[in-house]
Amino acid sequence: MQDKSFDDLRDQYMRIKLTGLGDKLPDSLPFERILSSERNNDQAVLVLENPDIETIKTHTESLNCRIDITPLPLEDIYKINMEQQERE
Amino acid sequence: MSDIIPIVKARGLSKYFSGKAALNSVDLEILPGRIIGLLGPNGSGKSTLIRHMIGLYLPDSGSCVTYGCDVAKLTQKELSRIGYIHQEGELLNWMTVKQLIQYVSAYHPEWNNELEERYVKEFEMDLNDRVGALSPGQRQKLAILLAIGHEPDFLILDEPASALDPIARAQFLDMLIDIIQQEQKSILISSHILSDVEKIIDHVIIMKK
Repeated sequence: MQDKSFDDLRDQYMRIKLTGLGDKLPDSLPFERILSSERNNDQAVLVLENPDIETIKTHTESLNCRIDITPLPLEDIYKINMEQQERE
Repeated sequence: MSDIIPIVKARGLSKYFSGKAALNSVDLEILPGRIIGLLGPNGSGKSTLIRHMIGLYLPDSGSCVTYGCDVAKLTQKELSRIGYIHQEGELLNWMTVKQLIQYVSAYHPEWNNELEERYVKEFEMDLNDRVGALSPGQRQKLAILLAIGHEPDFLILDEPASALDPIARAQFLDMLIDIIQQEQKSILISSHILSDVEKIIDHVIIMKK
């Protein structure tokens, strides 16, 4: 059973959308703890666990891309939790 | 550990039905002032846990204490601090709204008539309507009124919106937000409709099957 403040739970996950500003995005993206990833040559949408904002910004600059960060809705957080619990 | 006295404290709480664990050694504290979402798949024990909190079920092992009292020994003193709306939403259909309010309020010496009048007006209820003829949305409003009329500190909502259509659900949610803002209650809400729940909660309990 998980018992957490909603803010803490929300901070635990993040959805980032990367949009290349010129060049194509590289095949391998340098982010850690990627829970899911959808991408094409120009855009990528990643869900990250326990993200570090500063590291993300540094990577984004090196990739020359725009980044949009959004919190995950509770429904998605819940699904991730259920999948993690099933794996345990 | 916090010095705040929990409303509910469960330690090693287990419950079995036909030899199968519905709750398996649950540790839990519900602190006052929180709006908690109780989440989990069907069969994870959400309703079973809730029923322990108000003494409708008793632990097979471990303990569950509500307002400092073992749930096996809850009295009117502790129960009057709790408002409970359950998922079946059973009401006495043959009564009128007025009769049902009078019937329920008779159990609560601390019933707040002004609060009752305010919500009857706010919910646009006709006191002469037969309960059995109310729409699902109106029934749920009545259930809310019956649950808060005695001014409980702690409101438990077990799948309160599951029978409602999207419009009635949105109205119900607005009503709940009003109650949270006006009445300053601790609330535990169990729901499958997470997009609704996330608008009001500040705390999450996720149970696993």
